[in-house]
Amino acid sequence: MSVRGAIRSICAALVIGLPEIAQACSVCSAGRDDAVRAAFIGTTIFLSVVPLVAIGAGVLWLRRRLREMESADSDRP
Amino acid sequence: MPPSGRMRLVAESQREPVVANGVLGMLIFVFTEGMVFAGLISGFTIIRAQAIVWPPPGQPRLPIEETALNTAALMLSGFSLYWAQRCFRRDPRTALRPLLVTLLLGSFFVCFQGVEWVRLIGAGLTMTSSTLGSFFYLIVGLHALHAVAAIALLAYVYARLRRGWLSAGSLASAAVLWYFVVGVWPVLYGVVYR
Repeated sequence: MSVRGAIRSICAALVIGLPEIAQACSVCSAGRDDAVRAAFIGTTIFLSVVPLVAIGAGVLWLRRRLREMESADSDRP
Repeated sequence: MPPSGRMRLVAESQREPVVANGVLGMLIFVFTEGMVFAGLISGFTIIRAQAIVWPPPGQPRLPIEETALNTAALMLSGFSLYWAQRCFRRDPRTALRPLLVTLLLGSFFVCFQGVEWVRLIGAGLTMTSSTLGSFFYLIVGLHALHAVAAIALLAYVYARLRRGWLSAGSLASAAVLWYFVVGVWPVLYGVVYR
């Protein structure tokens, strides 16, 4: 094996092995039982969806308001 | 003949804005506050999922039944504010009574919460007694703070309406904050009190 190949192999081993030692992922360390894992997944989905829904609702409301104003403008003599 | 550039500019500047400045500012504020509550709800959900026993040993059960009555009062205040806005569009003076009903129901909600807190503190639930206490007072307290601010704003709006100085934008700005207070509460009630 060349030196470059050896370095690559060591890096790959570190990438695979280190997270387990460090337990850097909060879901891996704290979420060991099903209830906690489900809570982590649920709250991740919740926090991802809430801003999207809020922005989407705002855009839809603005669109409706613009249409109302346009129709009011066109009705005006 | 098509209008000249100057005429069109004047016509556009006189056009009603799509969203009043106050309403837009309040919407941005409400969005950020919504994310604060979303973060707190998520934290509470994870802490609760990690607990083996809930409520923690030695801690009282939260008063679900009594708070349901309080929740109903808050929901009613949302409807009365909607009614006030409808009345305002027809004749601003007719909005006084439903706005007063909103203020009274909102004040009842905050006072009832205060009484509930005194009872819970007496039963041993404090900020430092458990994670339930910490999260309960943080989440429900933050909501109460918003409710008090919204009531103060509604009182200001009511006073202006009595003098006949209220604009539709000012009423709408205050209404956005109150609808937020009303809308976020059932979620908090469902998550924290269950």
